[in-house]
Amino acid sequence: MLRITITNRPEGVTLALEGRLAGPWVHELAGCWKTIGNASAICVQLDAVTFIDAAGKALLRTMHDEGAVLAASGCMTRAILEEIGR
Amino acid sequence: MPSGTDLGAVMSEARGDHRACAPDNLQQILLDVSHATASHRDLQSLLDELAGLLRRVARFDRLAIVLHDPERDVMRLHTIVSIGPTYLTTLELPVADSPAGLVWQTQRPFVVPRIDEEPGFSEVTRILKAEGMRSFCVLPLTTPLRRLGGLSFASQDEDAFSDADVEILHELTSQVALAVDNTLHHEAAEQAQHQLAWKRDRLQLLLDVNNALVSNLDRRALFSAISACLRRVVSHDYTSLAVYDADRKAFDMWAIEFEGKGLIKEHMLVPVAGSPAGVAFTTGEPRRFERADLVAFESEVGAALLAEGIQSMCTVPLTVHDRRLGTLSIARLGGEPFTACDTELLASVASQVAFSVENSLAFQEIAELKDKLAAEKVYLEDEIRTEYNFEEVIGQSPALKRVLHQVETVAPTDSAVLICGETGTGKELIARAIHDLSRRRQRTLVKVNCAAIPTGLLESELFGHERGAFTGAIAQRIGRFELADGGTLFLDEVGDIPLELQPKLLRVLQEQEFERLGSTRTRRVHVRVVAATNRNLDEMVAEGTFRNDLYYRLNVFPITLPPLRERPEDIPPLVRYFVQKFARRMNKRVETVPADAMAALAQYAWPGNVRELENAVERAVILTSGSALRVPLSEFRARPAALTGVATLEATERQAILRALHDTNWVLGGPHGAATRLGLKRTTLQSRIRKLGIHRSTA
Repeated sequence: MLRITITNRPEGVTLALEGRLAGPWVHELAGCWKTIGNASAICVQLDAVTFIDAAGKALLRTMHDEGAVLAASGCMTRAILEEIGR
Repeated sequence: MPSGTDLGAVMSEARGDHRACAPDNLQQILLDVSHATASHRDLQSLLDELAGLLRRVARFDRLAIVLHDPERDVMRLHTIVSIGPTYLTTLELPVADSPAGLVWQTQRPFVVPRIDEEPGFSEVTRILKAEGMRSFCVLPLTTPLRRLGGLSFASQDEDAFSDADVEILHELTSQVALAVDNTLHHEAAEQAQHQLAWKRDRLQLLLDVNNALVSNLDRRALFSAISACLRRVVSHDYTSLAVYDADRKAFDMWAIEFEGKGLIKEHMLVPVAGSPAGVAFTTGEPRRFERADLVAFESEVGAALLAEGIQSMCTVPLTVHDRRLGTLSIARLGGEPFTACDTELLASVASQVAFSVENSLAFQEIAELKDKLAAEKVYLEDEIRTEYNFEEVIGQSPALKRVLHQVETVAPTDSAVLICGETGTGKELIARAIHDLSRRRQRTLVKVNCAAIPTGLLESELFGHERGAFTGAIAQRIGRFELADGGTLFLDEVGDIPLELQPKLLRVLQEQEFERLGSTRTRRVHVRVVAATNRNLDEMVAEGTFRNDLYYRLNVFPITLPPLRERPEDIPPLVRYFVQKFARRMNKRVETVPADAMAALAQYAWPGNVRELENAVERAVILTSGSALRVPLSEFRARPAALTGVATLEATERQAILRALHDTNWVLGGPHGAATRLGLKRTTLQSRIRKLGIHRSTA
């Protein structure tokens, strides 16, 4: 299960993810991202993500390439973000 | 029911024409009386006609039939015909106080020429005098078979009945007795017929109610059917079924059949105190209420019943096995109040409805429990899925990818799978993955750890047993094979199955049939078996501790899980995964794994494989107080040396063989074969391949 919380702030939009970014929830996050559009700065908060599958990783990579800021504190998630950032 | 009839014209006219009866006239009168007795079915019309006929014989102004009531031993005025007004509607006297009683006893005529001078029978003489009578006579009303009572003649004249009159009347009275007897029999037959019809209607009602109970599952439809059946026998405008709710200590109006103002609704709560239903429920007795009784009820429902215009009500308790469930009520907006018969009938219906209500309550409870079990099953399955999530298999090594590919290949088939691998390599995870990717995913995966169950109990655990199959079999038990019917059975540590149980296991694998312990009945199942072991079944077969036929049956599609030391590239992501998992669980913020720690972990041999790694990381997270993982490196430098050497040798050998096989396209012999490349004899290579569990299909 994945919970996405969208917070709109003057400096941009934050997508806080909790749970597993895998399977059907990758598509859900993609849809969510599309509705926000590129109008404002987007920050994806991954602190509470427990698992990211290959599709999730690919989506995060796409989001990162298009300017989204990915933030995480977990050991595994940070390693994935580092891999994406390389 | 006695009644008086004014024969005014006939009898007044006859009063002055009285004359002695000639024999030929007597014969005619006898014929006329006989004709009259044959043509009347009710006593009143018979007596009316007889009064006219007998008036041709004697002078009288009042004629009455008085019959003996054997049940109460009294003389009862049955029918009366009088020239003038009669004040009697009913009269019952003890036999001794009635002139008819005297005649009934003595079977002799009793004549009173002057009533004023008669000392006895004060009540009768008082009535006759009040009606203006001055003489009377009573003749026995007797048939050849039984004594009925007396036929009483009274006259406004004194000494109106001569001996000759009495003699003739006596003669005629025997004819009248037959007619009276016939009529009484006819009345009794009609009454019996009426009772039979009532009983028939009642039985038909009960049958209809029973049919409604068995053919209507829906509570609403059932109640409408019952109400319609009941209405055919007992007219009513309102029917309600109230079921007692022990939690709320009130009645729940389960169903109502009533087209009123809507003041009484289904599922409204009715208090026990101050309600008609409460009275019947508390006392356990059927109750009838009239409007005045309803007024006395102070509850809301009492007022609602009155406001709806209910005039009378009948309520009976619903009782099953001394357990009161609620009440069944019917009510009328007008007409007569309910009778005891109506109550009795409603009670009969209620006893059947009570069983239906009990069944319905039990069904409701079962449905609730079923829903609860289903929810629990979903929850537990979800929990298992979270614990053994195939999608969350960590690692990118070729060895792991090869295993995952094998899983995806074999999962959709129904073939048996044998998962081999060292302890802690994730055999159960792979078994669950095979089940979740198969067509059986909607059914259960049942796991049996053959090593964890005492040998003596394993057979019962797998195949179940009947009660009494062995000492301690206090109840019937379903085995794991039956539980897994339609799903998958995961036999963990299959190498630990005792030899004597293996034929039975082989049979169920081949024939999909078995018998429970203590039963001769063969049961058929459709189970896919996934087995796992960390033992070398090849060697066990060679040693004779594992049946070769069972081995071949299980080894249809072997999957060998690589030990962690053979995929060291997977160690860093696994470490990070477990660090994050345990840090979250322990509410710690561990963000990095120092490079030297990660290197030590990656070089370690991990004889306990992923399970050992997981436990080691958990221990490290416990020890960590900052943001960097604190790994006790000494543990991972001191122990592995000896283990690593052995393990690495085997792994290296495996890798070398696999590489040679791949390069030679699995050609073993010949100058360009794998054996030559490896510097081995072909037979030695074949032996090594078997020992290492290398298969072309899985390589």
